[in-house]
Amino acid sequence: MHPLLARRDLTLAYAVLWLVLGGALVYLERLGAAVAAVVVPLVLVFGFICLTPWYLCQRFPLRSAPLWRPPLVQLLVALISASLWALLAHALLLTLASPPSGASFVGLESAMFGRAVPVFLLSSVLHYLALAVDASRVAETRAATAQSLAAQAELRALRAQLTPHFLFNSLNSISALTSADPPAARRMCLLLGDFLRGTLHLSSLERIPLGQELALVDQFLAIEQVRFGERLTLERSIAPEALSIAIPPLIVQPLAENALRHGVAQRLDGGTVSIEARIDGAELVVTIENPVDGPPKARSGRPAVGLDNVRRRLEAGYGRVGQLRVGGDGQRFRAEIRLPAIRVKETP
Amino acid sequence: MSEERALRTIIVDDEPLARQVLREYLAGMPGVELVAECANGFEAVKVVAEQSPDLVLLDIQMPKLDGFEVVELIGRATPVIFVTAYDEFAVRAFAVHAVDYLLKPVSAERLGEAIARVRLRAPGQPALPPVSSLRPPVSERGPAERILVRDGTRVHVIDVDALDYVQARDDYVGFHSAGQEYLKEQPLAEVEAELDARAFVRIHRSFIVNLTRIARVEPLTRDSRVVILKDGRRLPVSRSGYQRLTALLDGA
Repeated sequence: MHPLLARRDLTLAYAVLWLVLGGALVYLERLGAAVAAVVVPLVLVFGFICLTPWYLCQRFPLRSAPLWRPPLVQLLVALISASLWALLAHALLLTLASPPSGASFVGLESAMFGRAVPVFLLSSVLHYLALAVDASRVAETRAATAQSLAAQAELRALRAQLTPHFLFNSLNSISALTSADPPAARRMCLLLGDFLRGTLHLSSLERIPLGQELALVDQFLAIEQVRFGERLTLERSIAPEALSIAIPPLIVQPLAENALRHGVAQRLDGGTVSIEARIDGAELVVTIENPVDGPPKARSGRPAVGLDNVRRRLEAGYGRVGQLRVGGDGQRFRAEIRLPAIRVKETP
Repeated sequence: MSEERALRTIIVDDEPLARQVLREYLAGMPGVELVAECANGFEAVKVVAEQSPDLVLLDIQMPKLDGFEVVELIGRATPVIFVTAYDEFAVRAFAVHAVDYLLKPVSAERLGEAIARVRLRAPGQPALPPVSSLRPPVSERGPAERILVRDGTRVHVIDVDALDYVQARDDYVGFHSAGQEYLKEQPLAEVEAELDARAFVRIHRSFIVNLTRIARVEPLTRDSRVVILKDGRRLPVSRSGYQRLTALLDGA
């Protein structure tokens, strides 16, 4: 439904506007009272006919190919609706307001037709404008959503890292290493510091190069590697040309965390987490795979909040062209991110 | 000071470094003997059955079988000290009469205090709490997804979907799954409370059945009926059991 018709006050204001225009026509054409009584309601009717571009504009957006189609369609509809309206006027005037002897209304009707066509086209232009403004507002909202989701992801990454899962266990490992292997204990402290610093302030950046994100993921996995020991093995296959692609920050790390928490950590023998990044045509594809025991039945109860956040952020950041696909065969779980491969702007 | 018998202790943790730090602390404590280290719950159950240690240092978050499930399987006769990074399990830990609850990273002093408590407790056997206090109420954790049964040093994990029916046998219950019966010391009423009430129904004083296994119900006498399972087995149905069964089937 047309947004003007959805609100009663707007509909009323719009009707009043057209009554005024009708009055102007009566004045300009110096019409008698009997004729005016027919013409003014007709003008009002035309006012509502002028709302049809709303549908036409959506059906034939300006950017659609071929280029000539939208204006041609609008012009055709303008001509047809103006003719029909003039014919209706002709019929009504003949029956309701008998013309002065010998005279006809043809002059009046052609004047009405002549004004109706440009007015309809003006309405088309205004509708295109309104839709463009609307679209940019939607884009703005989407950008705002993307930003707030990114902030949430940073918070979550921090909180997840600062919960027992990660920080306390890491500290316990460091505590064990201080006597057994002091250099390793120091390495672990440095890794932990780098990782925590890396996750800070990322939400203020809209996009970071994939390389930066993967460095963060590497730090995270290196820390977990110390804890898991032999139970965790890592495989990487990173195409060098993928490293400079711009991605939203903290979009791969939750997948790596998920692969450990729900995959490797749940298995007695652990397993291999594989990370792959490559360019596929115009898209960047990042895949994380981990072994699982059996179909993901146990997990169906609690939704994977991390995955959901990644999916929503891709939607918010890229609309339909960015997506997260998850799947598996009961042996391996696979999460795949696809997004447009746009390089980070070179900054000196 | 009489010479004390060494406290035979096992460490259960899936992280090698977490085991290492405990091992190091224990080595510095007189009168404590480390008899085994286990990397998961299954090993722990096996070692407890074989060696009957005096103390178990037990992690909670472990693959397949968590610390609470290990306690459920080894029983309360063996003193347990939980060692975990999680503070939210403390209430549950004391509900299962853990001697102590240590948070990672662990200090040697705190471990020493906990072990002193074990020694204080050792002479008088602690009263065994009812089994039901082991687990939080069903309302808090949802219906069971699997049943754990210990058989000597082995642990059977039965998926509730693979459970055909449960039968009361004096002090035990028999879990029937894929033609096997696994016995566990537990009242049938407790099993009934743990299972999903939409998938399992108590058809008789001594029987709980998985709804999906029922082929049909036939009358037996004027007052009683019999359930025929898909594998041909016949289970008795009491009058009140039949009411529960029809109520569940009508509701579905």
